[in-house]
Amino acid sequence: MALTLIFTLAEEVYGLEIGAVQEIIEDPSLHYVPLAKGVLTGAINFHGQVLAVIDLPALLGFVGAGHDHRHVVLTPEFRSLVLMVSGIEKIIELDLSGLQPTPANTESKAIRGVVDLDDMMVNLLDTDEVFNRLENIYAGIK
Amino acid sequence: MALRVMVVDDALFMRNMLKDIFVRAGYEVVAEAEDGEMALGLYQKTRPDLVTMDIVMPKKSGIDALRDIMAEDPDACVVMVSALGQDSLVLDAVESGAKDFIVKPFKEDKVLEIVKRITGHR
Amino acid sequence: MDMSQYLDLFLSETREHINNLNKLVVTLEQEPGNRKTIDALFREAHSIKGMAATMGFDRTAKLAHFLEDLLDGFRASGKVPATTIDFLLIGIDLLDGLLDDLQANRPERAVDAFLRDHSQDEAIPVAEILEEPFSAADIEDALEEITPITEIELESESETATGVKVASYVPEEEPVPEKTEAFQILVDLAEDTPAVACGILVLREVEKFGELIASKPDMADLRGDAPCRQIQAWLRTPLDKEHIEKTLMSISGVVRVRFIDDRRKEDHCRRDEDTRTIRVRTGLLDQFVNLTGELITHRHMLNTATSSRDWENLTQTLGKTSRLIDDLHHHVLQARLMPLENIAGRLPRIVRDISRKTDKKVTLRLAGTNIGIDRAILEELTDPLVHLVRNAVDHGIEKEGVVTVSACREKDLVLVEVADNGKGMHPGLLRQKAVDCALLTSSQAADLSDNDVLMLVCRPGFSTSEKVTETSGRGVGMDVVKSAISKLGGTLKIISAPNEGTRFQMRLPLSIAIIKIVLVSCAGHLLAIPITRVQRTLDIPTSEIQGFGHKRVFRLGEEDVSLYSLTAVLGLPAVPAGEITWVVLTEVQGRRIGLQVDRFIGHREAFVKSLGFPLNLLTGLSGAAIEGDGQVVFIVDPQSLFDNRNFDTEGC
Repeated sequence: MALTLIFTLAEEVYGLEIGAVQEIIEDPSLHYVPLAKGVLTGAINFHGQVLAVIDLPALLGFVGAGHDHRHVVLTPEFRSLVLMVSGIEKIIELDLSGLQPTPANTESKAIRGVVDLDDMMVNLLDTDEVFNRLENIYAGIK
Repeated sequence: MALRVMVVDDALFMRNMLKDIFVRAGYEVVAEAEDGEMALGLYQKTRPDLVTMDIVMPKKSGIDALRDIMAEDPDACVVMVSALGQDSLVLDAVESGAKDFIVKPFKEDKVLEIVKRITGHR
Repeated sequence: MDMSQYLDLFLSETREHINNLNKLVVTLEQEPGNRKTIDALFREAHSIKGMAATMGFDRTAKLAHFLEDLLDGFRASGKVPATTIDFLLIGIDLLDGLLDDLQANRPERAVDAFLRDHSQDEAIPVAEILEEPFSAADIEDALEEITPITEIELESESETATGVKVASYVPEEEPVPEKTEAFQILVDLAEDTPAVACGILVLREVEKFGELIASKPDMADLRGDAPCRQIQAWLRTPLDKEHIEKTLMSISGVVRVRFIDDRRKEDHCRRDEDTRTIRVRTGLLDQFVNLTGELITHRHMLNTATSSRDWENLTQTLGKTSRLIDDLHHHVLQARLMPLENIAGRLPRIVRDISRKTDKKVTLRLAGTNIGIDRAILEELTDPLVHLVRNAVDHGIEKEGVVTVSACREKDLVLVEVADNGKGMHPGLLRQKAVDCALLTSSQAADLSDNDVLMLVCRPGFSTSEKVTETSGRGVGMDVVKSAISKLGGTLKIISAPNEGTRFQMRLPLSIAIIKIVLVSCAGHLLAIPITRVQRTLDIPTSEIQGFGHKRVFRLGEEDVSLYSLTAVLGLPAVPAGEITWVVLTEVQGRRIGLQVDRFIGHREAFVKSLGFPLNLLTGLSGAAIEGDGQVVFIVDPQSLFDNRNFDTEGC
């Protein structure tokens, strides 16, 4: 069992182990980042640290998804990224022993595996994949 | 066990005064020396928990005796007894390992306070 | 005693000794009979041995001991055989490797093979060396060398001066608890007491309580006979105040003990790998203590002035306080300075090795290397500096010559120059080269000034596409050098002419933790530009700007300066200029340009926040500043903003 934050990206249900979450913040002021393009929607002043805010649904290709007014701040081990998500649902104990491999055709969605939860499929977010994508996007920009 | 003290001073008056203070406090005065040379020999023989050492004495000064004792026993607990105006001698003594100093004329309470602190004795 | 707390200090000091060993061996090679050098070498090895033995690093100690003995032998004979130089150097490299192991928390690498191989020639009985235990005196020497240093740890992530933690020698073995309170103790001494002796006794006692962070006066001051009637000590301890007061009161001559709480409850952090250390002169710490004391007084005065509504006094005291803060800031920055010598010390060895390899006769001259540079900058400067020196030997000097590394202050900057007296670079050949590897068309090449042509060697395409030959080889890795300097907020300039040698000039800020910025606004957004990047700010009547689109220029004295819109460069919607166009004059790729902004907001000092992922990947941003209202303002570096941008084809 592992405490897991359940959130949505568009209609899809995602999970993220709570150990990766530093804080959930509400309506932070978003500051302009010069030359930021695409999914880097701005920066926030998080207790004096300047952190990047990432539009996670857009990064993973969910077109036209809505955004919760609450954002997820990851821990420093997860590079203190701030993730915008479509909706923050709840924190639950999730039985990871039932982890199933990623279904086909979901490569774009950064999933580490899926877990069954009350007839609902929870996609476990693959944070490494999120970092890789960001690196690919932003390391190339000159 | 009572704290074992050695008193080093060339003046009998001072020795007796210190002795009285220590005895009243329940300590045991195991040795008395009237010069520095005597002090080292008695120290080796009696190994006291505490030494009070006058600074200015005939034959061998208190500071030289202190150095001898410290060389013999680096953990030795030596308190210097000085008069007013001996600042540089006191400094020498402290740098040579003296744990504290008492300035003449002294008060009984102050002497015991110092002794208790440096020996850890209650 | 737990020695792990000394590891950082041991490593940094031993690296310094190794640095010195390298330098001395190179000197010795030039003057084999120099007695002083041999003595100095011996002392360096001796120090390393003692420290390593104290730390319990047996192999490091063994090797250092071997070198010490070897050098001692030479001391007796008064000279070092030429054949020995190489294996001394191998031994020093091995020492360096051992330190790498220790730093990486690995077991020490084997040294026996080296000892065996090299002892035979010299008829030194290895067994004896290996078995001989270290004397207590060795260890005492070593402890003496380690302990009296006051050391400040700076957390390497944040360049924050407020995060300064001070560690010092704790004589007792007792571990300092996780959370302990730091506070200041004031101990008043009686008028007629031998103050110095009494002060020493007080400090000795205070040291027993826990961690003595600093004191005024300190032991050294006292022994220097500083007059004192009061001891101030900053202390971190788990003990309660009552006990401390009682104990201190029992010392002869102590008449009063007071406590001033330090408001911060400091976490006594575990030392992790990322903490780095800087050694700070005790004198400088004293100044901190003085300034802090004065600030405390001023706080009190401010409180009094506020409660009595004495506005005039309040204004005056605020003025004084701000001067004090400036002063404190200045001293904090000073504490971060390290001499360039720390990295330049490696150069003699490097030059010796390359000139050997390339069969050249190269003399290295160092000048001004005692100049202080911010620790963070110095760390990043190491690679570029080494690279430039290598290049100078490799490509600048033909057969025989001099490479000079010099440093000096230029206002708020440090100029570090690597110069060679080789045959220099030929702009004509470079133009040809650029055309050959399709970096430029021949007309573009012809248009470039000689100065700009020299900077071509810093283009990535220019360097990698070429075999190493007299002129073109100069570019190897120069793009990396240039971008490293840029990142530090510095600039690179190349001065060269055929047969007149080449000079690479790096201009670096003294400090990067706090910089002066110019605040501007573009399309409603606040942006900051480092003041070191701004030559001037101008307001030009819009009518005086000629051309249009990306071909705009304005007249500045005798010069036509190209004008680019910062708003457009950043991809923001353009706001049409009114009658006045606001321009930041800056230098990009060696040429002066104007950056048009919508408005100047002002200039101020800003504490630079480093950028986290993925902000750190964005080109053109060198950090961020946080405004008083919490707003994040990014610091834009025009130089890197325009990197890889071709002025002539890509307009703004």
